[in-house]
Amino acid sequence: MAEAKPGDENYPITVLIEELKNEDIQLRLNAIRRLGTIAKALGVDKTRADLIPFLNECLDDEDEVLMALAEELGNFVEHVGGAPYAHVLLQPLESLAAVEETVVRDKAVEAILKVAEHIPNESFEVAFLPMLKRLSTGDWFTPRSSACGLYALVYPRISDGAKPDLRQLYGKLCNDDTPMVRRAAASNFKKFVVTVDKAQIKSEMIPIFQTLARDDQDSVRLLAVENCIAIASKLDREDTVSLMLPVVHACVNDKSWRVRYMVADQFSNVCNVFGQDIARSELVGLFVKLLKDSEAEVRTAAASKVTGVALMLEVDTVIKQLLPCVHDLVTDDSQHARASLASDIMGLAPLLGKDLTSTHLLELFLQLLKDDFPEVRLNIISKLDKVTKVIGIDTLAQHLMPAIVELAEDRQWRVRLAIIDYIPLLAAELGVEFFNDKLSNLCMTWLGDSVYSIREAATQNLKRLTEVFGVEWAQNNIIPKVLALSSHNNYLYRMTVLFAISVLSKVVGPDVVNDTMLPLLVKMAQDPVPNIRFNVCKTLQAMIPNLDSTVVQARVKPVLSKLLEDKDQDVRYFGQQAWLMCN
Amino acid sequence: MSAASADVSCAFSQLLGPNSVDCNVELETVSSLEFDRSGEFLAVGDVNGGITVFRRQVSGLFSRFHEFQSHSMEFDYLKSVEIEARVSKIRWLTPGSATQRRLLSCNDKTIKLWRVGERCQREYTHVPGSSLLPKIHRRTTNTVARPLRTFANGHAYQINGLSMNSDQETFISSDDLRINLWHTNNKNEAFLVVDLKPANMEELSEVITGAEFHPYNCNLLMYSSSKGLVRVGDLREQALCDRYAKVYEDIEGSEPRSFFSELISSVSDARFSRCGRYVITRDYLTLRIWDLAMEKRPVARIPFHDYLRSHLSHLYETDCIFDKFDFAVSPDSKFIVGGTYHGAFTLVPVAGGQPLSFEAGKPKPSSGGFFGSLSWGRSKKPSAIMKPFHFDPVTADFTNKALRCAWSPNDSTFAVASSNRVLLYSQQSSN
Repeated sequence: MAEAKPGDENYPITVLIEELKNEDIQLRLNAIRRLGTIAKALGVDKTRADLIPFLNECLDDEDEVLMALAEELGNFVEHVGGAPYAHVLLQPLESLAAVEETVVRDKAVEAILKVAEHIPNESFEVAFLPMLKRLSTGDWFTPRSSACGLYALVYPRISDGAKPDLRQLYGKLCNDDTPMVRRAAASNFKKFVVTVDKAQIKSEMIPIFQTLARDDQDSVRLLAVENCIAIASKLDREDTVSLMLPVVHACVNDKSWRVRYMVADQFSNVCNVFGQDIARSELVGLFVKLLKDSEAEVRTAAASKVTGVALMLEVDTVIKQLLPCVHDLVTDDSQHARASLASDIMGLAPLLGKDLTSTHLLELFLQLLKDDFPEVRLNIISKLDKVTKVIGIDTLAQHLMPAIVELAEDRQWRVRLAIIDYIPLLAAELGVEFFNDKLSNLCMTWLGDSVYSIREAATQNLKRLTEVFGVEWAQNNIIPKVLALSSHNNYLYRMTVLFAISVLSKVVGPDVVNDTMLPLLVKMAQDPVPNIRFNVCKTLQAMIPNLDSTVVQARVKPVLSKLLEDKDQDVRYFGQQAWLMCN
Repeated sequence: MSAASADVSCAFSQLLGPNSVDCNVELETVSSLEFDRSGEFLAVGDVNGGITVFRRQVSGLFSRFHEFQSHSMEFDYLKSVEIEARVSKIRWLTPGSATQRRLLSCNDKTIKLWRVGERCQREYTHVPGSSLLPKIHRRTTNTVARPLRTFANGHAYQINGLSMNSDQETFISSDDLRINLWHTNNKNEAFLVVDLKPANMEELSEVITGAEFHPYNCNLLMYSSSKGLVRVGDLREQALCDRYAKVYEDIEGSEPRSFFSELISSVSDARFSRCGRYVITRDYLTLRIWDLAMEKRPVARIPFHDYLRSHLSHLYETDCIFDKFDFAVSPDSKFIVGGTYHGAFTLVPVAGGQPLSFEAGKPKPSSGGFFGSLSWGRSKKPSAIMKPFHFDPVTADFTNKALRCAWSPNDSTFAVASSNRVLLYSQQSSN
């Protein structure tokens, strides 16, 4: 142990260094996270000369420590003396990029990318190229998979003379023996390929990509679609049709549902990148196939892309080719497929326009609105505004009410919670009269729900409704009903009133607060149940910042001063807290 | 059974366990046995939840590398039942470094991912006056095992199968009624790929007895059943793989109906061959080799310890009929080894020829003075040819069961475990 005592200027650093060696992993972690402090104290020269070599010896440690170390090193450039010296950090990071645990390697790669930003162009190739080659040809799969994450960064910054070798190395990684490396190469392919020139993409990268797209391992093949999209963005239309389209075909017809799922999931991106012509001529047929796939997971993914794809097509095609499939999906066996469709299908309305929506889509919406599965119904309601903008609310309104009521009374509280969330949206769409007529009772019932989360959401709901309809409306419609609850026998309902007041006080004006809410609070300060009394304190505490100081002195403080001497200690405590706020 | 067949022969190589000359370790009763893919490591799991890992030295013999407690006994409060610590399966993962290895181990309910390997312990000295940082002054290497992930709560019934996929990142685990698909990096999620639970449990007639992934087709999954059937499912077809792609049922060769036929038809171990073209299954009395392309009948039916057939009622009374024996296949797929009672094992030539049994243990001294002239720890080659053994059901010791065996993936070494010992042999070719 170095001779250093408390009071010595080196003492804190010595302590940290001791912790770096400690048996206890928490202490080592703590020290690692303070590496910046140690480096500052040592100064840049000693950090380079002593600390980095020391850390190089510490790479045989637990995963959490190594992860923290990688993260710290990513931010260490200034500590080693700035850009000219950034490369010294690459040595420990290279070793970290080769360890067994995936998360450590990923962090190391992240850190390397960060450090790279600081390395000037002149010295970049010298610093990076040998390291990348070493990692790419490492004995174990671990450094080779890490290497894949670095190509996109390194390639653009090296000299043209060095590029062919690097492309070849990447090709080798794509043909590696171990699936892990091929997967890493495949998932980083899309980032790498966009840095390569078009000519070389065609001559070298596309053949490599085609082998990946035909790999035995499902987990490699299913990465093909995203790569396809990346490549297509760099090619012209002819090449896209001749080279990339066959791959999309192959994926849609792949034996593995997971590959088909990936295509379905990415289908709108595929359409966007391949362009409207190809979408209309070739891709429609493939999409229809996916909508009718035998595996429900694939249909679910495709159903969520119907609008995205339809945007690229002519209205006629949408009606003739997509709608029949959509029709079938509405009655699909899988509830997930139906739910997925419900969240997307509303987007078709603006596309088709008023008449066609009424003719073709309306009945589908209504059918989904009556689905057995609550999520389907909720998804329809959540996107309602898209449709009402096109065909107006009236046609839907009469069908909506039964659906909303059924959801509002669902046995599962999470379903009830979800519909409450949409009430302000619906209120805005349906208008104040409709709301007063049909929905306001519902909103009141929720205040008395047996589940706390519902009661809480109901109070928030009232606030948002006030924002939609205005203070006057709230004053006339909500406040009286809320206040009426305050004399309910069950204290839980009285509590809800307090939460409602707390929430609403933010949106109603000071008049309502002073004239209606404060008197009520004064009255409830004398409630026999202590929970009510201390919640009065909490409510007042929340309201005080928004109240006029005269009001606070004249009306709030007297109430609180009585509660400061309440017989219940919790009431006294919260009374104190509120009292402190007054001053 | 008299003369040793020229085809089938093996030589004793090493004993791992108490009183061993070269590898004296305290082992508990062995419950699982597995070589890693390189044949360099051998993991031995025991009934008390411990795992001992052995490492092959340059000499070809194994020495103790590390031992650790993988699982402990637990109590299931909901069902008021004890969960044994017994390690039932061990599977190795692809190595990612020179000094570390990862393996999956499971007991009846929980699967764990462990990292076992060398760890460098450093000692530091401070050079006063120079830098604030110490210098490394001595390094020692010791071995350490670290639990990386625990895959818990995936199974309502006892786990009976564990298998890594050829993608080297996902694996399946099977219990009586279900098979789950996991990813090694994610302990919080598993996907159900096969679900045999009937809506009405009273209709239950068949349970899963084991499951394995195909050696290189990442989508093929094989599971065996208590009715003697083997099913192969294709994960590509559907998310829930209940509808199997193929079923292999030996109708012609099935046991004639008797009181015991159902019990002895239950498959105790089923594996793919290394080439991936065949599935080999073992039930109580018979080995079957199936060609994946032919579902109607196996390409070979090899009676294993058929002499037990007439003793079934005795075996039933002693519960021996419920014993689940393993088998292992040689890397060239020419031989199968399986354990039997009296601590013996049988080597079966796949292409035909007389299977021979050997008593698991060192060769007897009466075989011409081999014993004295050998120095176990130093010899490079296995040095004692085993004499075949004639199994006599009347005098055999049925409490000594060689349930577990394993074959090294790259050479002729195989291991047989009987009670708390593991014996290593080398299968000899006749030419």
